[in-house]
Amino acid sequence: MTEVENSSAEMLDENELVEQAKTDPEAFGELYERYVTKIYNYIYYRTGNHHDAEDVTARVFQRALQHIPNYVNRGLPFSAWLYRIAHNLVVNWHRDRGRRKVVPLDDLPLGSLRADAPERITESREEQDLLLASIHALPDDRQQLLILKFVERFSNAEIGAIMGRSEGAIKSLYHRTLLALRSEIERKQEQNLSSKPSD
Amino acid sequence: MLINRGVGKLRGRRLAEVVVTHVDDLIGGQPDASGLLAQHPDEAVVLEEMFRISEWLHKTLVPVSPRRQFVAKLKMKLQEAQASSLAVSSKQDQCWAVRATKTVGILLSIVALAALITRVIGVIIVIVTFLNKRYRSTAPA
Repeated sequence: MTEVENSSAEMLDENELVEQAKTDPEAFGELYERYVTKIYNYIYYRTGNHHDAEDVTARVFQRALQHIPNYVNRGLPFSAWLYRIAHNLVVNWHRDRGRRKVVPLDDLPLGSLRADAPERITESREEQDLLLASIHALPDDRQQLLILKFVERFSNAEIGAIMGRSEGAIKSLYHRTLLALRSEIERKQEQNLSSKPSD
Repeated sequence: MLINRGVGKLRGRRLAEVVVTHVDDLIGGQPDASGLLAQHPDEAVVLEEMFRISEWLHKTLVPVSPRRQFVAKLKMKLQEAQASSLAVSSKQDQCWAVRATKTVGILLSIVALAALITRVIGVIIVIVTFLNKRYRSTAPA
């Protein structure tokens, strides 16, 4: 089977599963298992902590359960619908808490960094905090793009389907996001420098 | 000015393509930053900075795993909620069916009763007409 045929077969399977999930708890459970980690990842990086990530993830799937009987397949992957629910709930979460710029970040996954000397870990931790705080200062759609790209590892076409844009628009958005991120990082670094006491 | 804007747009698009190619290669595990920089020497300074930020993002934004207990508990809760909702909905459907049948039954009864009443009235009219004719034929001139 070619890649295109595989992808079509997967879509068909997913469409069947979604239809079954409307009236079958077992099928809904399977659908849930397919997407819970991805949705959780997205929400974790948008909220910045595991506690709120669990809370919002639960609300995403509760809402999905409530509305799945009315779900109509419009040729987009089911995940696009779930991500839209997740995105909206995260936006509501931010609005309700009045948090936008800085989100306290806990137990960040440092597994990808080599654990050398402690001061290196501290530096790395500071760098991570700076980057994550800068990401959280970006508009919602740019945050979404970075998470879908780097955490979820979606292709540009898949990201376009989720965000309702063309592949070309996604590439442009990514470039503009990097520029905005660079500016935000510079701004925070200047803030940090000016707030540090002079030696 | 329009030409400058057009050139700027083209440059932006070209940079976007290169930057996205780099990040796709990075995520795919086969980055070739030096190769891309060599292809675009005029934009090397800007591209190097973009590549550096992409690499930083790639290093920092790693997937996390939710707690297994949370995943399992939520799954159970959702399935129970759905089963319960389906049961209620099925009961409601049954009630509706019963109510609909009752309503049709009542309507049919009303129609039957109306038909009966109409027939009775018709019979009464026939009897009255017959009696009236008879009375007129037997009445003295």
